[in-house]
Amino acid sequence: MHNKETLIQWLLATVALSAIAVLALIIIFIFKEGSPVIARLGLAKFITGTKWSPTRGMFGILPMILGSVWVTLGALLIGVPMGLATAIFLAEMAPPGASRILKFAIQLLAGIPSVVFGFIGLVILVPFIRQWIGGPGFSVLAAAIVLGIMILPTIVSVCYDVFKAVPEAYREGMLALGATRWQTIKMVVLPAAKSGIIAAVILGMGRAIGETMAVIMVAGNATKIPVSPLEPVRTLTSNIALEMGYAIGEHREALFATGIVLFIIIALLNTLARIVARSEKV
Amino acid sequence: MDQKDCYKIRIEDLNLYFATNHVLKGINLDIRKNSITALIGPSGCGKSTLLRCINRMNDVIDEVRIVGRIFLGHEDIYADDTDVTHLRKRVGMVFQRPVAFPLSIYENVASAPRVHGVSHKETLDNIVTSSLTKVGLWDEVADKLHKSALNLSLGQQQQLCVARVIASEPEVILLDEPCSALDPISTMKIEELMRQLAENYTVVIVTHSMQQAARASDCTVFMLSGEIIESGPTGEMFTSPRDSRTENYITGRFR
Repeated sequence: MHNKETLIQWLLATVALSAIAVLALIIIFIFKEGSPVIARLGLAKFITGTKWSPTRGMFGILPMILGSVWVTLGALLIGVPMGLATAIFLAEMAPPGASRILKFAIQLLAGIPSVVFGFIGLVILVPFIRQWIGGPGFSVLAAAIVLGIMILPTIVSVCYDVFKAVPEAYREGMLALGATRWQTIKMVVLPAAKSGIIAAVILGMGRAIGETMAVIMVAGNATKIPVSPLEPVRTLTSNIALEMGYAIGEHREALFATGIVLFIIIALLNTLARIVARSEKV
Repeated sequence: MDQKDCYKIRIEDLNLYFATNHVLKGINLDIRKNSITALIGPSGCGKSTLLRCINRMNDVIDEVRIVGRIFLGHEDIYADDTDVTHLRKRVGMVFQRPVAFPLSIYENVASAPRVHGVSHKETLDNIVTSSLTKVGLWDEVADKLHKSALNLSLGQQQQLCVARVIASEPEVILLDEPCSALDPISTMKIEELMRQLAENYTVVIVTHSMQQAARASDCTVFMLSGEIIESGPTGEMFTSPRDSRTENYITGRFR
């Protein structure tokens, strides 16, 4: 009996450790492949260089870093207010039946493959922007809108759970003071949920910055720094996905180095999310 | 003061149904102005439910149906044109577990006037100061007004809740077992506070503790299974109860 316990414990530990080992191997591999080119060019030159021209040996990824930043910020600008409003409605106002149906619909949204989002963006959004707003259509704006919708399920479901975790006593206490529903939400529920909302935003940010396929299809992918939301843009992830198929030698190393930068950005965001979620529990 | 005006709250033929349960049965009760009325009775007798009828907090719960009338002064609070938010400003409530909001001490108290549209900084400052002073918490918290209220002890949090209720300048204060989560010293403080409050407000308290009712109230109402068995001045009720069920309860022969 005791032996069986020990065996199961070891088995589970091995499986758990192998998952971590895979992660460790991935990290080691990207760093091993990518760091020589960074060492040769210098980190500063790599991340602040504005020219990306592999055939001439120029590897500056600043346009892609800024591209990822603009597209992600744009996505948050669209996704966070919408997601927050949806979560408030679902958790605080909607009748239980409607809430269940809407939550299900939002979860379906999470299950749609990103290529489908990209395709819809490509055939509807891009022509729409070209015709009615301006520019080539393939743009920061298009990518931000598509990503903004793609991060909705993350924001909505995390915020929903956070609101549901706010003690009922707070709402009751506030209503007993004569507050309306909206006053209750504004004055007590939102402040109580603040750290959870921030964590939701950071998770959404991680999802937006990591998304590749949908962005490639609508962003235009030009390797220059966009000066308006209507100009084409290339993100870090797009850069890797677009060129990995044919890259060799130093070019290939530079793509791995792009991966390193991306990895570090995402790791920082995740750490930030954890710190924020843990702190501020007033 | 004529007979009618010394009563603040008059409950007439009140029946409350929760789904198919008949929870409150034909309640008739007059509650005196500027006095402390205690509702006592075993668990599940409906005393908290009755209390929550007075500020219509039962409205929040689905499947509750209320028939009958409650007059606050001369107004029927169950009339169709009653503004419930205004009613709850006039009838404040303190709960069993202290409900300190996860905000600063200042914001906890200020939330009450803010709800009713006060936004002028100095006015808010004055309300916060005077409310905290009235509940005897000012000296303890004056230097940490902008720290989180959740760092206060449970007793202090309950005082804070009373301060918040006072801050909306109510006429009636309802207390739903306000001391059941507190230690004896905090309990004593709250009882002293109730005594002070009764000078200006009509206080109704639900309590599990017979000693508390005997010590701290002017009138006592004994309830059993959704009905009022007996009500009257506290002294009389505890020395010579008219109903044998009341006697059994206050002497602890059944719960």
